[in-house]
Amino acid sequence: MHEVEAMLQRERQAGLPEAPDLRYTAAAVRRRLEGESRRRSPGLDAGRQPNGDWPLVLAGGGTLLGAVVLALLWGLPPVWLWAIPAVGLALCPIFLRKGA
Amino acid sequence: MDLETLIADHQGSLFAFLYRMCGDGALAEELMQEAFVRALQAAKRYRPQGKVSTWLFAIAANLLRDHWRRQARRGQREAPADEADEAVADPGAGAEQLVLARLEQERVRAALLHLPLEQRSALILRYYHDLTYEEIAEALACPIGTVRSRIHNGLGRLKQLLVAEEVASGA
Repeated sequence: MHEVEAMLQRERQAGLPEAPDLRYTAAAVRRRLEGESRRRSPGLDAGRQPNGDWPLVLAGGGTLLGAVVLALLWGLPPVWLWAIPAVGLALCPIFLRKGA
Repeated sequence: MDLETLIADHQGSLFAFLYRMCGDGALAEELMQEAFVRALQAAKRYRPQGKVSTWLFAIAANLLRDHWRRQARRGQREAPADEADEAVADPGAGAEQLVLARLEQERVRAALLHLPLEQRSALILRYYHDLTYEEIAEALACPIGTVRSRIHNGLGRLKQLLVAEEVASGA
């Protein structure tokens, strides 16, 4: 076992290929960090609003609420017959946005 | 945590660790950069009681494990790179001792690459980076007893590999 340890020590002293240049590594790491941050906020990349999903959620919610209120006001029974398609309709823009 | 300082302080040891773990300079460089990225992103969560180098070794070991898992899924085997061959001494140098020493280094590097990943990482951190058993346990996320057994078994396996290689080359 000691012989193997001595061989490891000798191999260690022999050294390795040089590590890359510090400035090169720093530049590469910075590029990767920038790439990561862009990937995490894709809205900024595509010229979209940072919180671009919120208007769609509000529009969907408004459409749904409107559909339910109208169904109730007009007394069109049963309510779920109108409410379920309305939910689907309201969610469409969100699914379209996610798929884009 | 300052990017330049982190790289200046730890690039050498991190590259050496990864290079000895995979035997591939390009892969070692890529994973080293990724390890620095992960470290800088997680800098806020870093626990200051541990050494930064130990933490970086842990990140690098995880990245390497993930890389090999991905390769295994794609059906590629973990292959030591050919770069180790470049370390063979130039016969023109003349000195027989130098040639023999280079050959021994090459054999040791090749044998290390044939060890199981857990044993290899424990041996490299112990014998090339002088980490204590506690630090190795922290870097590899395992109990100290496991580190001891990995090092003991790793040395035994390394000896077997070197003897087998010697017999094969002498035959």
